[in-house]
Amino acid sequence: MNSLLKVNQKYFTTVIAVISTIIFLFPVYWMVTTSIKPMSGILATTPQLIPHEIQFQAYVKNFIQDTEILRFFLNSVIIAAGSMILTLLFASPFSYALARLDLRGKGWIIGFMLVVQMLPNIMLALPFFILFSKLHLLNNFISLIIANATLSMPFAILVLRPFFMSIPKGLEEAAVIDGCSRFTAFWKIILPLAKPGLLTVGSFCFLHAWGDLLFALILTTDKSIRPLTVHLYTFVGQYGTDWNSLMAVATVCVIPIIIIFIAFQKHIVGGLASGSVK
Amino acid sequence: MAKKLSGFLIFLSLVLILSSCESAEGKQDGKIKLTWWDYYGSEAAVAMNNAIKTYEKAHPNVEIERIEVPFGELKKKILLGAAGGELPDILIIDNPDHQMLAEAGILADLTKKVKVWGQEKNYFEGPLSSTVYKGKNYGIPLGSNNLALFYNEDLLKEAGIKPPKTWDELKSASEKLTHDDVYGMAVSAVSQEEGTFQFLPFVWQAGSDLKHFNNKGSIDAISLWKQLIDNQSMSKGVLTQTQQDVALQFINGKTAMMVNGTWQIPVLEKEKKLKWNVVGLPGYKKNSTILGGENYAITSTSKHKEAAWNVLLFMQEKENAKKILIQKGNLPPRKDYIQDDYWQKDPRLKVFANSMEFAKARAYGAYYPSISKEIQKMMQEVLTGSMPAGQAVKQASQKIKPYIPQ
Amino acid sequence: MNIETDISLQRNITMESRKKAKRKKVLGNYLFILPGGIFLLLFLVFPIGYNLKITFEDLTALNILKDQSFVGLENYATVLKDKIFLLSLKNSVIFTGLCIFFQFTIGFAFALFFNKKFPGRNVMRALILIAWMIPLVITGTLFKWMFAGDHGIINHLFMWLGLIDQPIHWLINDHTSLYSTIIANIWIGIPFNMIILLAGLQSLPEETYEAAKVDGAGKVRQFFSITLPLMKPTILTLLVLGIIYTFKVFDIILIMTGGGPVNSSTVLPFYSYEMAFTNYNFSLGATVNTIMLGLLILVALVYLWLVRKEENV
Repeated sequence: MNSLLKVNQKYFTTVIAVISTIIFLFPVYWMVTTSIKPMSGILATTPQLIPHEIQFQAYVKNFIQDTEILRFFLNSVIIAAGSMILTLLFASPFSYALARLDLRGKGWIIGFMLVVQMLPNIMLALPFFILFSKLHLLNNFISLIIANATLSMPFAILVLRPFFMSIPKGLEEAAVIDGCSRFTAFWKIILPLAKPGLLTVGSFCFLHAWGDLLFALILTTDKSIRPLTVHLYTFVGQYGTDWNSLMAVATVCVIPIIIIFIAFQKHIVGGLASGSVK
Repeated sequence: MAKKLSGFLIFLSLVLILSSCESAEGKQDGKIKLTWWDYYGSEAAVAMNNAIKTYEKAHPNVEIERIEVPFGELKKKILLGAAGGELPDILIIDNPDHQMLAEAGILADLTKKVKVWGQEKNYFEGPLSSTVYKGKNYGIPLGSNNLALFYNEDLLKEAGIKPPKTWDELKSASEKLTHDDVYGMAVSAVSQEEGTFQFLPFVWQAGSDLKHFNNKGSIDAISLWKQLIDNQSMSKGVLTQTQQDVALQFINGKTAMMVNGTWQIPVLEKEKKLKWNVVGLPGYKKNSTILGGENYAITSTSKHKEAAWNVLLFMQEKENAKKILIQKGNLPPRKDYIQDDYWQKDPRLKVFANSMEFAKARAYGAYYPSISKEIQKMMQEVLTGSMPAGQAVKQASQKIKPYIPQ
Repeated sequence: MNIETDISLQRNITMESRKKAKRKKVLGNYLFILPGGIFLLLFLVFPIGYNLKITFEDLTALNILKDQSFVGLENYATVLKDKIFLLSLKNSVIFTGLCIFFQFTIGFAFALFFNKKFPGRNVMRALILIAWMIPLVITGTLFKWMFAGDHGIINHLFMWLGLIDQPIHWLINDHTSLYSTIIANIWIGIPFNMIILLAGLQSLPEETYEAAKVDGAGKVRQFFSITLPLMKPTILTLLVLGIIYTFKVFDIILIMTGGGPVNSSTVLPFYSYEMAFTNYNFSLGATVNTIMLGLLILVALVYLWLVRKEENV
């Protein structure tokens, strides 16, 4: 009896979760349905919550007839993955040192990280352009990866710090006594323990670079390295309020991220608890 | 992590190799490599690419790299490019920006070349004036357009009215055409250059001008728009609608009339169900319309000005120019080319072609972008009802005064 | 090195070696921050320096290829006297305050809820993240479409609920434009708050709760006496990051309202963007950035002070 009640309660929670998720995600639903409505349905006097007529013209027009978008998609992946890896590579030892090691002026360093994070992208845009043009790195993935990593690194350092702090003390001390160097201890013992944190921060960095528009607009002109966001922005400029096409492109941009996240989300969020216990 | 590290290193070296290849490539075989920036998209881009290919075939020693930049980004990109020393050789720019870029020293002085060429007399006054700054030529017009009044034939027939010729007729027609969720009239009053572009013809029709803005004509012009909104014969949404958005409303029968430009013709022609036509903008004290379009220019930093100039001359040849103009939905900026059947036979195109004689350019000097920004603010203030027209016009005229060339 | 050993020779040998070992250890610690530190210095010092330099000059589009002149503090005076600057500052404070408040409370509620175990939780948790993963260009356009005066779904919804009887042009009404962008930004921010808080919640030791249960503490009591205090570092970091990130938001405003109508939704970053890339007065834009940075540094100092207090306890 008691267990039955418990099971019921569980499902009741699920129902509430489903309802709140649906309400929260209504804008996304609206995006998807707008993309498959004909224009007459979009500009109807009473809105069609469920489309009366479904058509995929916008998808045919933008993806089947125009396959260029795949290239932009790939570019976005390269830029986002590149800046994520670069960020994690530099940020994790940095953050570990701030969390655990004996350093002078820790407070100042943390303060600096905070200040740096506050720099509005727009403040960096013009100087970056001048810097990268001097380094001959314009129209190059490297400049975009560096620009995005510069902005996400302080964030990563700050967010990773509590993760390292929560790892039980004494683990790396023991390793050092066993003859490991500080760095080996960090690499072999601490990092694997911090994996959930790394995944979380890594995904933030990935998304941050994925959504960047400003740097890409300013640091690139070449179509061969243009990311998806610039393409979308061009599209907004070109099609104004052709909601149909716009929402179709938007939907297609979002679907792969959803798939990746559903596949990996166990690691990103779910693995956190187990990671810190083991 | 180790895997990731090696993955990254491989990736990094790959990119480095790729980029070094690129830079090595540029310096071989004595070819002249020209770079080219514009904002031409879709069909116009195809036409542009074809013209470039034809040129490259005829001139194997020249290679042209054309880069398409989003419309809203081009000016930003040019200025940043100037700051970073990375400008292309050839630019296509929106004509109201031409004088500012000339003043900034970004554009090459082409006066001598234009004189030797000797064809500038064939151009309409409006387009040509937008390429001239302080008596010197900084480019040649590429394509032109202007604004007119588009109307939905079915909706006008239903209401039993003829397309309006004066402001008064416009007001009453708009009112009659408004019903249910259909608005009678639409303009773009968006807080961008487009908004100023749509508004200026009304200022000129009322006998005013940016050079002496604080007068009754300016107040009349903005009051006309305000009245249309107050009567609900124009949506308040015009404040956020770009010209593209306005056209979309028109295509879907949500607005019976709209002010829009030549380039919408190819767009509207694709809509088989829509019956539409076009007349000149309704007049007030006088008739007037505004000139839009873009110009060719060569940058002052270009190392191949001569080669770039030759490309421009090729693009100006009638057959080459015609293809690009048609795909972009533009009119020829030249009096001779516009006599072509394509622009004369079609009655709708003819409306625009005829207006070229008096279409006025936004040639208000190097500070025009700042002037335009103030006008947009004034429009917003009046149309949202936060300031009376008289006060807003007065304030704007004081603000733009320092920017107006004496 | 020589001088150092000379001095240390005169000292007690055991003390010397102890000290040396410690110094070596501490120096080794700096190696951890070296690569990241060099990277950040390289790619941040130049931009910050450049930015600061042009605040004392008159760099505009028109003299970008020529020489600029030194104007001292004139730009700062111009900006601080500008009415639009003061309005943007006010708007920024409203924008940041409201966004943070709602993002955090709704995000916390979601986090507590999704910390429970129930079927389908993982899928839904991931789905909510979608809101945050969508590129801002798209989110901005999507909300612009939903808030549209004609045919916008929000007007339809409100009229159906009887909240309004006439469609409102949300984005071109100077009383509603700022709040419309705030709503869009709250929507984007909720998942971020949720995921960070959820990560914090999941790292809390279960034993403490078990013990509290044995002691007979109720859910509410548990939340206030265990969850909140243990979560304090996470919450503090999250709020500061939230303030910084929200203060910087400008893409949403660029796309939804363009700062209008009549500056009613202009926030500081947008104001700076407008100065630099619409009016092409790069120096004034940089000045606004610098002032904004100064304000944010104040926030950071408060945070640092709180962190120090925490770590000293």
